[in-house]
Amino acid sequence: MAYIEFKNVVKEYTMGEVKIRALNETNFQIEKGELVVIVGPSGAGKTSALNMLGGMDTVTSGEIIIDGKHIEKYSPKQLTKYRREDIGFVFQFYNLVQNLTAIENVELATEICKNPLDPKKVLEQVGLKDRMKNFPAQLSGGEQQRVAIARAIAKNPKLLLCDEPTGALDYNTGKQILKLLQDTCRKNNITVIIITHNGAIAPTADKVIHFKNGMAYDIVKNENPIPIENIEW
Amino acid sequence: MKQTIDTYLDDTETMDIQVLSTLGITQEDVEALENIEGVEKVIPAYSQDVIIQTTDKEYVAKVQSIEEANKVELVEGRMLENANECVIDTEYLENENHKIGDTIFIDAEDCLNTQELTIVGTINSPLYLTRTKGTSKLGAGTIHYIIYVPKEAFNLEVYTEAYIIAEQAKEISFFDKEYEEKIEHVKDEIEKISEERKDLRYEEVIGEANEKLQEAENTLAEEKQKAEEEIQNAEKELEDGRRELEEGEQELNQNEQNAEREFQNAESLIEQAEAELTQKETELNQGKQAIIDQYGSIDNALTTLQANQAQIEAGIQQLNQSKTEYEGKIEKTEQLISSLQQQEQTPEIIEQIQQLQFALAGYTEAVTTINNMITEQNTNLSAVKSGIEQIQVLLAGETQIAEGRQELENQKSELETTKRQTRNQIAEARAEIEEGKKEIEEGQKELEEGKKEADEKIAEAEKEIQNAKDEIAEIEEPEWYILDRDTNMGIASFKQDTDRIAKIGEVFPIVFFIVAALISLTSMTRMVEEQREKIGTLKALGYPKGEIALKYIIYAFSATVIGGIIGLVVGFYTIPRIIYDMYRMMYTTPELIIEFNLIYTFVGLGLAVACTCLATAYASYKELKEMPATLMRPKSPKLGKRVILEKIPFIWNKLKFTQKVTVRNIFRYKKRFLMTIIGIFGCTSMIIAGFGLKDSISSMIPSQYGKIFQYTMRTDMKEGEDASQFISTLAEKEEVLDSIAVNMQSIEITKGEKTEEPQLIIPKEVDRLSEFIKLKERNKDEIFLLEEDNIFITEKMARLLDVKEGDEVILKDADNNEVKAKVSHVVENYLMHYVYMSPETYEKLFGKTVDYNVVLSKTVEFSEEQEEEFAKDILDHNTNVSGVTFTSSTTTLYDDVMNNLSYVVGVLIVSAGLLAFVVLYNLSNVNISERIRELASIKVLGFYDGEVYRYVSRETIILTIIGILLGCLGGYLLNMYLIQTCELNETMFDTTVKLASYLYGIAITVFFTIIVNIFTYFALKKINMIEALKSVE
Repeated sequence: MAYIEFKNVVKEYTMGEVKIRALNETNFQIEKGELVVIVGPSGAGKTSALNMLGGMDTVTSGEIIIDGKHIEKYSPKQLTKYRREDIGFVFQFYNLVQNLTAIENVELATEICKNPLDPKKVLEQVGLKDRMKNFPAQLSGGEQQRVAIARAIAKNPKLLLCDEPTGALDYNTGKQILKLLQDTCRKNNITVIIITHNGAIAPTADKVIHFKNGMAYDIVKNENPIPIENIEW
Repeated sequence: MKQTIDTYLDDTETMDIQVLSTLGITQEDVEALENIEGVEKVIPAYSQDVIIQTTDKEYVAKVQSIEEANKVELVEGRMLENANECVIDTEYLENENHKIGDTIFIDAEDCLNTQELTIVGTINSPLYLTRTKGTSKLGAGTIHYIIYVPKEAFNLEVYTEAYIIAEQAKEISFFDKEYEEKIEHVKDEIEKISEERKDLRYEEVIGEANEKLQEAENTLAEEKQKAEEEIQNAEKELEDGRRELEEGEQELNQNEQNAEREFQNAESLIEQAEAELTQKETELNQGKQAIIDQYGSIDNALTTLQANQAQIEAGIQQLNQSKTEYEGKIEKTEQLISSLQQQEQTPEIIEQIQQLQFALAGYTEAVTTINNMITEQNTNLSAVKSGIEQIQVLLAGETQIAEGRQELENQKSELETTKRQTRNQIAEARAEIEEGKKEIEEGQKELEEGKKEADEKIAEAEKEIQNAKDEIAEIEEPEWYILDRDTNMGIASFKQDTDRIAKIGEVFPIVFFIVAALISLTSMTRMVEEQREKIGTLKALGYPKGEIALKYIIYAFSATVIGGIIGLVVGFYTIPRIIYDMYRMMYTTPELIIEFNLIYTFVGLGLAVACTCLATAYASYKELKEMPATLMRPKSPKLGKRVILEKIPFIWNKLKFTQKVTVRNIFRYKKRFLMTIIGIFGCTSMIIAGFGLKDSISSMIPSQYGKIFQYTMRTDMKEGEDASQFISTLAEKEEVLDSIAVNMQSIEITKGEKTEEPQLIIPKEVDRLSEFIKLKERNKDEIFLLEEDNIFITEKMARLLDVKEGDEVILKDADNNEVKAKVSHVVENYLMHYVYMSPETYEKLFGKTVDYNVVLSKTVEFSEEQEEEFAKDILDHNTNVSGVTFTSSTTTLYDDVMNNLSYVVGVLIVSAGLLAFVVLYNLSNVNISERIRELASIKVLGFYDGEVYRYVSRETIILTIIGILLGCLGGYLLNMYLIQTCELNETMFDTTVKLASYLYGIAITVFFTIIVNIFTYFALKKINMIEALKSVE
């Protein structure tokens, strides 16, 4: 059985009187330690899927099994615990706490984990050894995103979920970030799922899931992912 | 309130200035006053302090003439129609169980035409707004009641005072400075004429007095002479009478002596006769006895003797016969012898003759013998005869003696009668004389008395004249007291109190206003910020800045105006009414006139509107400044900054991570930080102040009448009665545990410019005073003894007068004796002002002995009815007592005040609580919405709800704690301020706030904080991470 299994997941949002189905019977599987890229147009349900995977949202129907656990049946508290222990999130807009320095932002996460990594080491790992004591506002977008990734990694999660991590970054920086994510996946053996518009980065992934109209209509397994340095877009 | 009282004073034509003269105000004075510029009207009036007698008590009352100024307000009954009617202040009927129609007896012959007045109504007077009516030289020095009578009821020569209504003073509120200036000006003018008027009046009075004095002196001289003459006449008469009486007595004595002597003579005669008689009787009895001895009895003797007599007589007869025979024979013999002799003598014849002669000799012898025998017999006879005779004489003697005795008895009784009669006569005469004497004595006494009386009268008259002289000498240049409304106790203290309220009114709005301004500022800023995107869109669509801003400004404006109007209604109608009602407990003022004060309205509303609109405009402007594109994006979060604390590594490094975050957050949101602290501070301090105020005021009476005044009953003696005797009466009552006699009197104490009128208390037994009144410093245990030269004054007064231990003050008693004294201690006291000294000190200072006019007692615990009964019992059985009061009655009176106060405190607490709630709620809302992304992030990171809550609220909690701590201090200070402004002059509130009040304050604040935090908790729980994070897109 796969590490992560999405089984007939339906997600409906009620907007006033209108019901919008964000996910419509979505099915996919992800193995442990895979670097997965989810691509698709806006409104295809990528983020919804990621949110549910990350325990930030609940399903309308269907099953989400992660490491043999039915997280769709989790209570809010269990979900919180799940997020806390198993998940690392990276957002497009970093969502760092502005009032905390880089290292503090990392510490904020490690503070609540069971087996956190050393924040300093993580930051060194993401190349921010010298900027540790800087506030987010004093860092560039890429640097901020690195802090965000460091924050996610430092939790030592089972699953690293990235929602458009390069969306707000320039090409080179984006590339560096993706590299970082790839490295993380490979080195730390963490399952990484990246949502992106950018189909060009698909070859670097172990698995590419294509979303359209609330469904994963195509799942491509990439036997030989190439390192991120080697691709251009 | 100011408006109410100003209107009331204007409506009642309350005087602006009152002129009092020690020698009265004449008609000329009135005219002179009328001519002063700025004076509209001068209304002369009478007033007099009197003693009134109710069923069981004596009171000092002020009788005033009813005038067109200071119009009284009828409460019940009707106004005056006749000269023997009066109206009295409402308190009288409340306290004295009298009703309209009852009469009231006033002991004031010298100033009122009638002593009995019928109460026809009750009134409130604008001059007496408070229950305190001022002081008097009479009685215990306090005026209890005010009585109004018609002008005609007074019989005084001159007016005692004049009320002046100033021109155009009504148009100005007397709270204004302009009023004060105007009145001051008129007062100066009056001051100017007063000199002249005073001199005139002085001369007039002196002149009159001297004239009267002269007259009195003349009369006295005449009367004196007359009296002397009369006395002389009476004395002479008495002397005559005395002499006559003496003469009579002498005569009587003489007569008595004579009579007595005569009586003695007669008595001795009688005695003599009696003795003789007795002797005779004895002799007789002896004779009788001899006879009885001889014969057995008198009758026997007589019979024997008579028989003997007869025998002897018969013998004598026989003897006489024999004799005759013998004599015949002798003759015949002789014849024969003669015949024979003639015959021759014959021897026969001779013998015969011889024989014959012999015979003859025989015969002769026989005759001789017979003769002898006869003689013998005759002797015997005569012996017998004499025996008979003797017996007869004896018998006759007996009769004679009996007769004599009878006579003697008669004589004796006659003598007795005479004696008695005489003696009676003498006794009568003597009684008469005695009576005469008594009469004379009485006469003398009368005379003495008359003399004494006359002397006394003369002395009195002389004394009076002397007094009059002294008085004339003492008639000082009259003093004109020019008083304005500020010197009227009631009006002035009302003014002060309203000022106090105004002061409170300055503090609270400021606190509330700051908070309100902060709240509206944040709310509006937030509103604008929240609508940032919308603003951006509008701007992008081409709306001008102004128009966009206006939208928000109008919104803020309308919200403020609506809130403001509600606030105005509450502000104008509710709160003043609550406060005013509380004041009406102490003042007899009319219904509150609620004036819709335009200025206040505009100021209040304007400030509120300005505040919110400016805040909105500012926030809008800040937003509008930016480009639409920027606006469309979320506002970049506030930059993180290092805080000072981080530069102190040894503290910073010791902090836990979360603590660091908290510290940094606190410093990050300074506005919020400030607001939270101010809000909590305000809330806590107001609640503490509210409770503290209640504590202070409510502890005042228990402190005064429990800790300081330990006695429970006070008995006032009537004027001039000494308490010592009454104490022993009290001691017999088992309900009374202990008593002490004290002297209480009103006294004036002056230091520098300031003067207060405390009560002077002089205990008879200095060492026992502490059982009844504890003299000690506040918060200290040491109890002071009143040693010689010690003078203690009470704390509040010391504060008012600015007197410290060791300072010198001037004491002035009711007779205007001024002495200087050094204050040795300032003692704890909460209600009224007192001065304490020992009798020795008093005597030394004032040179007068102390008369103890009040008894303070400790009693067993009484119920209210028992108290009344006991008081009545004392009053009924002790004519020297003028009144009995229990301290519990004071306590009850203040309970009402306390209740009202609780109301105010309640208002304060509720508003403070609401304030805290609103502030905190608002802040937490702002906090959440401003930091929603941050919060969503940490939620995503897997913070549990509790952790998220703690992440946010830790700051709030710290701020709340800081706010509470500051609030405790602020509450203490605010409480002090409130108390010092609320405090009436004669009360001192204990400024120590009870620990419980702090705890209440903290607890209530914490309670509101918790409620807000519960809201916060759920609001945090509801944060939708996805929405919050998605909004970026």
